[in-house]
Formats: sequence, C-alpha cells, structure tokens
Amino acid sequence: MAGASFAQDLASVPLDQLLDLEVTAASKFALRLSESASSATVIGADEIRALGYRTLGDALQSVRGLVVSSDRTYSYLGVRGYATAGDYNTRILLLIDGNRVNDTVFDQAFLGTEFPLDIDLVERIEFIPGQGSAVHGGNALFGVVNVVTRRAGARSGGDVSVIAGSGTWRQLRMSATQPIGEQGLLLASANKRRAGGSDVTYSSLDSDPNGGTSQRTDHERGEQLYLKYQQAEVTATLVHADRIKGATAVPGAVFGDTSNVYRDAITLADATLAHRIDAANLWKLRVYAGRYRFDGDYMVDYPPLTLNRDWAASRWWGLETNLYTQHFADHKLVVGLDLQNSPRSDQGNVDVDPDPAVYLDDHRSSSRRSVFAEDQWALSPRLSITAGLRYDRISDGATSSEFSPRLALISRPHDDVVLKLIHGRAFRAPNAYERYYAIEGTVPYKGNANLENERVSGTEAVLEYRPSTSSRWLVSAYGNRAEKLLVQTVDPADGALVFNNLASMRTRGLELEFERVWSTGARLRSNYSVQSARNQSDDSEANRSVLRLGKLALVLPVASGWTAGTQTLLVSRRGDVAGYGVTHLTLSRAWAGDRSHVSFSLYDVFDRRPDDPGGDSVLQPVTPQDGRSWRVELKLAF
Amino acid sequence: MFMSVFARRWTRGLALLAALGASPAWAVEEQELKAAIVFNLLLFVEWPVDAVAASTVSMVLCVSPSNALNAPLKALQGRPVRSQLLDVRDLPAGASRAACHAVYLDAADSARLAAAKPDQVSMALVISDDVDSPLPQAAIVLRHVGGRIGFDVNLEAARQARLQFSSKLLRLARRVNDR
Repeated sequence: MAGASFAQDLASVPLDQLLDLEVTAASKFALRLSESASSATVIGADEIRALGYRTLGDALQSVRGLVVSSDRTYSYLGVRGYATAGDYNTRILLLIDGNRVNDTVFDQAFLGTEFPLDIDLVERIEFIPGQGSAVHGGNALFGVVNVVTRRAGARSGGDVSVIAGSGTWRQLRMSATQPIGEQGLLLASANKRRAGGSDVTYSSLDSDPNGGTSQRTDHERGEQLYLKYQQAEVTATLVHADRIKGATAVPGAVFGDTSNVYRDAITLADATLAHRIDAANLWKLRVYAGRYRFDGDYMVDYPPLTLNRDWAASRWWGLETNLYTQHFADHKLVVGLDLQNSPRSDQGNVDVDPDPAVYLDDHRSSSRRSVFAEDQWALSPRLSITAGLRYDRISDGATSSEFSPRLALISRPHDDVVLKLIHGRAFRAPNAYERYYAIEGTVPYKGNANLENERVSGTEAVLEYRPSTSSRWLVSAYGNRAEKLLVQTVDPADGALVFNNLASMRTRGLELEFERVWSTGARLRSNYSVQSARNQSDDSEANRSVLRLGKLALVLPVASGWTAGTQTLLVSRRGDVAGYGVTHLTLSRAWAGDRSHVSFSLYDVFDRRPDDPGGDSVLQPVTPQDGRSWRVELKLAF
Repeated sequence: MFMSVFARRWTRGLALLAALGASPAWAVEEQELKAAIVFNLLLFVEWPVDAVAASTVSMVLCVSPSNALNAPLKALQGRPVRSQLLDVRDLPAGASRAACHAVYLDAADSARLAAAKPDQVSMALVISDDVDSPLPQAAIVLRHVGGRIGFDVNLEAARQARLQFSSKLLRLARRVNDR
C-alpha cells in the first residue's frame, strides 16, 4: 500500500466490480470519519454469506470484544465488559444506514430475529466501539452498530429464496429491483417465516412436573417488508417487521404455558435528499417517522389463572440536516441539526382474561433537539486530529442538556503502522419504561420521576500494523468509566421494584486481532480479548468479573466454486454460566454473478449446547441454547 | 487549482483512510472510479487495423488538461492494455485528434467539440460523461446509476468510428442505443 496511488490499485479491479462500487456520498463520508477515528470492525455481505450468519447477532458474535447472548426471545449484546441482565441493549446505539433504530419506550436495539431487516439486504455491518454520542446522540455509551443496506442493483431483476432449518424453520423471501423512469430504481423485498422451535429443558426447574421442559413454546413467526426508492439525489425507504415469538420460560408466569408470547411490530419510514452544492460541499436533509408496538402476554396464576399483558406503543418523527464541507484546506467538517418529537411513548399493563382489569395506562411524550459538529483536520500527511462535540436538549418530563465531546489523534509514524488515541464521553437519558412503569400487585413496580442521565467516559489506545496489503495486526487497550447507571432494585420501604441511578462501573480491557487475506480469496480473522469490569459502588471481589473471549473465522475456497466458512467462539465463565466453545460450519456456492447461491450450515457442530445468562438470577439463572442445528438456503435469481 | 490540490492531498488521505479502516474502502472518490472504468473500457474495444495513425506500441488516450479526470488518468500511464501500453496525452483544443485511439470528454469539452470539424474525431473512441447533451460521436457515456457509475453505449457512433465492442461490454452497459 505504501507509495501506491489509489487510482492505480482501483484500475486493477475488473470492470464488472468497478461498476458495483459506490461513489463516495458525504452521507457515507461522515460515517467514515467516525469510523476512521476508532478501531471499527466491518463485516461485508460476502462474509455474512460464507459464514452462515442468520441474524445481526450472529455476525456481531465474530467481532472482537463482543459477546451476544440470548434468552430465546431477544438477543443481548455484551460489549467491553459491560453486560447487565435485563438490559435491552439500551447502551449501544443501533443504526440502519446511519439512522437511529432504538425505540423511545425501551431504547431497545434489536439484534436477533427481532431486528426488522432481512440479513439478505445487508451490504455490511460496522461496529464502532467507544462513545459515539458526539455524532449520534444518546445511547452510544459503549458502541455503535451501523447496518448498511444494499443499494438497488443497476438492472431490473429479482430473486426468490427458500430457507429451511432445524426447529422446523421455514422461510420464503422474494426481492425485486425495478427501474422507474429515467433515473429511478425501486428495490422491494418481503419475507415470511414460521418455526416450531424446540423443547427446552431448564435444569433449575426440574422440580416442575414436566421435569423443567418447556414444550411447544419456542415457536416463532414473522414477516418483513423492505422498500427502497433511489433517484438522483433522493432516497426513500420503508421498513416494516412484525414478529410473534413464544417464550419458553418467563419468571413469574406459568412455566411452559403456550400463551406466553411476545409480539414486536416496528415500522420505519424516511426520505433523504443528498444535494451536492459544489465539489467541496454536500448538504443532506432527512425526514423520518417510526412506530413501534410491543405486546407481551403472560399466563399468571394469581390465582386464578389469568392472561396478563404488558403493552407499549411509541411513535416518533423528526427532521435532521447535515452539511459536509471541505471548503477549508486540510479540514473535513460536518455540522448537523436533529429535531425529534415523540408524541407517544405509552405503556400499559392489563389483565385480558378472565376478569379484565387495567393496572397501568401511561401516556407520555418527549422531544429532543440536538446540534453537533465534527472536524477531521489533517495536520500533516502523517498526523490528523478528529474533534467532535454534540449538544442534546431532551424534554421527557424532565429537561436535560448534555454536551458530548470526542477527540481522536491519528498518527502514522511509519508506512505500516497507525497509532490512534481516542477519548469520548457519552450519555443515555432514562426511557419511559425506567421512569414510568408502575403496577401494584404481588410484584409491585413503581416509577421514578427523579432519574438522571447515565454517563460514560472512555479512552482507547490502538496500534495497527500492516506489514503488507494482505495482513493486519491490531492491539487495543481501553478503559471506560460509567456513572449514574440505572439499576432496578427493591425499595425496602415498600418492597417495590424501582430504578435508580445507583451504579458506577469501571471496565478495562485488552484486545488483540490478526487478519489475513490470500489471493485465492481465502481469509482469516482471529481475535482474543480480556475484559475486566468492576462495580465501583461495592468494590468487593463478588462484583468484579473478568471475561475472556476468543474468536476465529476462516473462509476457504474449496473445489469447483464452493466456499467453506468456519467459525469458532470461545467464551469464559460468566457468573453462574459455564464457559463454552462452539464451532459452526457453512458450505456455499454462488453463480449467475453472485445473484444466486446455495448454502448448507451446521451450527454447534460438536453439539456443545452452551448456556447463556437467564432472565432472573434466582428463578432462571441460565437459558439453554440450541445444540447442533442445521440450515439450508437456496436463492435463485430471475 | 483548488480542486486539483485537494484531489492530490486527499488521494493520499484516502489511502490513509483505507489503511485505517478495518477492510478495503468500499466507497471511493468519483474521479478515481471513473478513471479506472475508462481504463477498463479500453480492454473491450477493438480498433480497425488501418484506422489509427498512432504507434501500435501505445494505446493513446487523449484528455484535455482542464478535465477533472486528467490527473487520475495520467496516474495510469504505462499500464498494459492487452498488447499495448497506455499513453495518456493532453488534448489541446482545436488540434488534430487523429493521433488518439480514444478521447475522454466532459461537458465543458463537448461544448468546444461541437464546433470542431467531423474528420478530427472520426476513428477515435469517444467516451463522455455529459449525460444531459451527449455528443453524437460519443460511443460510451458514463452516468450515475443509483449511487454507482454505469455507462450507456451508442452503437451508431461506434459504427461511424468503425469500432468493435465486445459482447461483454454490451452486457455491462446500462443501456445500448442503436438508432
């Protein structure tokens, strides 16, 4: 790479691939700014296919320093030592094409089959560790996940896919691209799935008459729709997903009852105008709206046996605008404004059957006004500084103001070596569930109007060494200090569960990664990380945890056009949950210019049956995961 | 000028950016990409044996000095194009183009060329990115297609210049015009 001009390397790429490359639009430019001032990991569509990733969570499992766990209803991300039971991924920010997806009631980032986008529509996944609030606002306490969607293909055409897997998983998908008019393109994709799931045995519940086995409760069905319209400077998208998932074990509800079900329905719509003012300036305007509906049904034996339902409904809309300018020599500057209104952040709890009753019917609204700026300043060809600052003003019952700064120093002392030093601060405002969820009953909950924003500040030092264009070493050391973390505890005065800004935590870690590509198309990525988390409020040994993670992913072309992909994950003990090692294997083949393909995957090849942390440390300390399972996908282009 | 100083500095910057990212840069600068595409297009075109007076050792690509692609194309100087070597030359306005195998024109160049005599551009492959008012002589026109760069083919112009386009080129084109 040293000394070679970029244009020369690009000219070696075959013509059909050149026609597939995206021209830099500043909307991507801004993300590359943040991405370069960090130690980001990027997972492309070819890797997603070669390694048989079924969901966003599967892909994030391969990322350095991350551990994804599941309670068989949702997937949860542990990042850099931080992973609290009951945290619906509120402390990472999930973006689709740079746009926020976390809803306004639970702040939830959806990572498993509850994620509203089909993995087939994903062009690449970017994980950017560290504090991202300086550009993106709240929630980006420990990292940002950005899912970049596929552009509509240049020609009309489409494909049909059929997927089958264990647990009677059946899925059908159809996608099509249609040119509209002179310059417009429409991409449409829809899929429907249904699964019976497996019987799941919880060893902690073996006193139960069923021997702790929850039967016929692991089912799932869902549908997704995606539309993208592109024309010249305008892009409009619509995302819709609706999933019904059976819950195999819910603490407090009747074990193994098939009425225990969660439903998540989300709709996101937006339109973006990216107008190139001149060679050095680009202006982006985006309007967006979203809607999320949650229903959780629980069969509870008060007595009598009663169907109880939690529900949440949120609606939001907003406008954001950014200006990207290279007007000042050696500077790449972006300034932005973001206005969001959430007229509805409602939640409730009712008894549905046999005696209807209403325990909670809460209606809230909130708004957010933000402005930010970030500049990348090239001090010299070997040194650059990135500085960013964002101001957020949030009104959600209480009004709070936050300044989130970020500073990164990037130096290239030698052609093969890059050094980065990064510091940032991030915040998270309490969500409607933490503030206002209140019900009386055997397990009472109460709200807390006095909650404050959580804060995290972190520092990271990264060393990257590239001895050649085909291999890369990375070492990263980081420390995070989190304050005023919201924790749900029992108030001794009335025995009710309530949130308070109680916890402060310090996490530290060291990560090591090696990546290598070969001219045959083979690639290897391996990483190892050690993370330590210490609860500052109570510094006893019991509140310290050390997690070790090792990952290996290998993609190998094998005979006559087939590709083999294998992934091994090693996770050390997490509290009551034993450590584990699993290996997955996928064989795939593409044809018709990569538009058709077939793949066979075997997950947990050696049937290790790992556990993940459960929903309650006493009643359900572990959630068993599936053992060996398989998946076949056939995609035919037309 | 301001633009070309920027292009040069940020070409290095882009290499730095590519090195910093965890994977090859998927999003590229437009001019670099167009230059790479123009270079690759030459591989799929056949010139009549007798037509061009220029040396058979070089594949001569002419581009005017004020064209945004001038620098990125010059960076490809000397690269092999099948059995020949690429020779990127400046195209002075009004001079004979008989010595060029291929000519790259943008919108500003097209305006000047519209006044030129026909014999000065015959026999050359004319590639243009002036989508709005493409020259009748432009056999290939580069255009934006949904965030990427694609191209249209004008078979009439190719026939006038007695050029042969391979079937692969026609398949990769977004649109093939045959009037």
